[in-house]
Amino acid sequence: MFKTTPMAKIRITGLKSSMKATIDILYALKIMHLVDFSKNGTGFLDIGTPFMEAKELSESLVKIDSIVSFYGLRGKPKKIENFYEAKKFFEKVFEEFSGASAKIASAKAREAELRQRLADPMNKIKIDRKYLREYDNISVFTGITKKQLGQALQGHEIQFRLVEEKTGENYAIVLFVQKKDTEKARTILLNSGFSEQAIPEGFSEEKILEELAAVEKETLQAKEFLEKFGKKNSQFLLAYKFFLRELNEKAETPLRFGVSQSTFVATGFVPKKTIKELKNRLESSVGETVHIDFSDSLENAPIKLNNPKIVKPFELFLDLYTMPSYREIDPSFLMAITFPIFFGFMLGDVGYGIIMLAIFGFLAFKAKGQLKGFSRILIWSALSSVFFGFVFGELFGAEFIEPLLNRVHEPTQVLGVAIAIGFVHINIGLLVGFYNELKNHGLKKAILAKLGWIAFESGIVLLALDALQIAQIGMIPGAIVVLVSIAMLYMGEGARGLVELPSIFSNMLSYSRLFAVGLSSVSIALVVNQMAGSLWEAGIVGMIGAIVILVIGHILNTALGLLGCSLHSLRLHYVEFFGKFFKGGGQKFVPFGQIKEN
Amino acid sequence: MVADVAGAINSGLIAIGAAIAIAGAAIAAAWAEKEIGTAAVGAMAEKPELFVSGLILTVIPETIVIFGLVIAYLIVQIAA
Repeated sequence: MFKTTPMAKIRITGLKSSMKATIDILYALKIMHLVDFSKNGTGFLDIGTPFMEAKELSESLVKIDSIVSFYGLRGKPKKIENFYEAKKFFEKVFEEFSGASAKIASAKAREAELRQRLADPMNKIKIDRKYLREYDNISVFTGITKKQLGQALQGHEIQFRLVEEKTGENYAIVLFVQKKDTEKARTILLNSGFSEQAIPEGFSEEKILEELAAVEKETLQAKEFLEKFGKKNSQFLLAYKFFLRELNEKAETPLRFGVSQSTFVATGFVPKKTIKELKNRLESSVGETVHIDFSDSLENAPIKLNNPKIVKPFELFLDLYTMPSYREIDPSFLMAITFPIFFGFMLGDVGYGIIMLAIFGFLAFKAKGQLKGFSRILIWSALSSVFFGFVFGELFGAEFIEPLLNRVHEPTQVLGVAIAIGFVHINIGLLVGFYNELKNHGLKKAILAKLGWIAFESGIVLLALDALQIAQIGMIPGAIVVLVSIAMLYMGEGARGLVELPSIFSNMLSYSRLFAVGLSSVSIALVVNQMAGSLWEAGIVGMIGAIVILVIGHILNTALGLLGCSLHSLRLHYVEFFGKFFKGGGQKFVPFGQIKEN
Repeated sequence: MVADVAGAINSGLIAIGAAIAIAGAAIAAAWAEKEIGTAAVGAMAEKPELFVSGLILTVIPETIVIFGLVIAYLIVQIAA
């Protein structure tokens, strides 16, 4: 529970001829965390080369990935029984799929072309095409102008014939002038923002529309086909994708091994209790050609957290932060106890607790992935809220039973309890830190660095007892303890320990947020209730308003409390609690062969 | 009458003292969080897995405002 799964470092050495079989076994067992081989200057080993089929496999993988992502397929794949049949079938499937996609692509291109022709403004001009030819003494201009041309041509003493059509903001024009006036006309045209454009030949709107309809129908048919096709083959496609991915991963595994002319070496970590199974399986299938040895060097060993089912969701907090290092205590269990307590202490209200219980109870069943984990954590937190709701006697901010501790009327006591919780929590942290130091740096360091803090606290307590005249012991005992503890801390943690001396108090004071955040939550609830209460007396409309205020106010306060309280509770763990013992930096245990999601 | 006015002024000053304690602390905390939050979001844009570290660093100054609250509370208590 507190310890991560014990690991053993393993090295598998064997003949290259057995490499494939070994990989298959390791992949199927899913118990070994492979450590990539890295070439160092002096070794005779080289990084392995992928198996021959890797290239073909990764090509197929690209193909199938494109189809699977086109359909957005997800879910649990079935198993592929016969690779050769599946491969043949996939080739057929891929051909049909790419045929249909190509059809759609070319139809789309044709459609775009037709639409462009349809939208050409020059087609709007109503003029018989037979007039558009070369003349001996007439020049013809066709194109687009920005200004209306008719007015611009007036009063220039040139003879002209103009056909003009407004198209959007511009004008499509055909202008006939005498050859001798060509230059004059050109100047006027340029001043009107003229750009030359030919009138397309053989244009017929009807024909284009007809073809457009045909193309659209074709696209639609191809799309329908693809849709049916996807529905029919989705199971197979997904299964084949995962299957290919597995084969590809196996084929590329030699890249993670060290190889010589005819041998290979694979190193990694396995959980200690699975060693026997691994040995048996390897011996029974590859026998003498592979040799396994173990070493106790657990430097950089991966971390597999090992917690009972009820604590499992709380491992998420370490996932988000960092894994403990191999010899450190796994704090998930401690967090599973204190996180809900802190949360409930801040949001202690029977009503809010029950609302959250309903929401996250539902989500814990329905949601997937991280949200599911969060929901499970928040169920415990909501239960704790209900519990503290009874302690504080609060139901949606209203006092509904005689409270053990009243947050509104006895704030001093609540503040005291909050700081006391901090005192206990931080000292638990120091004790865990003592254990971690003991395992990692020995007894001396553990006593100096961690018990030093506890001694410092005791010294301050002795001084305080005297100063507050609770016990007449004088200043001397307290002062001695404090000085000794400071010396211990200096020896244990160096100058850093001295700099951090005041932090132990600011850390404990930080737990006053348990009181402060709680008080603000109650205050908001009280304000909502008061507003609703005064509206209630103002007749029917007032009653409706009061209900609206109550519902919206309490929903908002629940949401606010949920966010604030979980963040503050989390922060107390990450900053104040973890600061006392947790170093982290461990690597997560990822067994070779574990299927990655999508 | 004079005593009444003096009492009112006294309690008013106490309230203002408490308000200054919490307001100053809150402004300081907000300022600090603004600086850290900006940097944290910038780092997160590059490396999304820094979310939790960013969050932790951002909420560290939150303690300041809680100290402010405690002081404000003590002012009111001691004065009363």
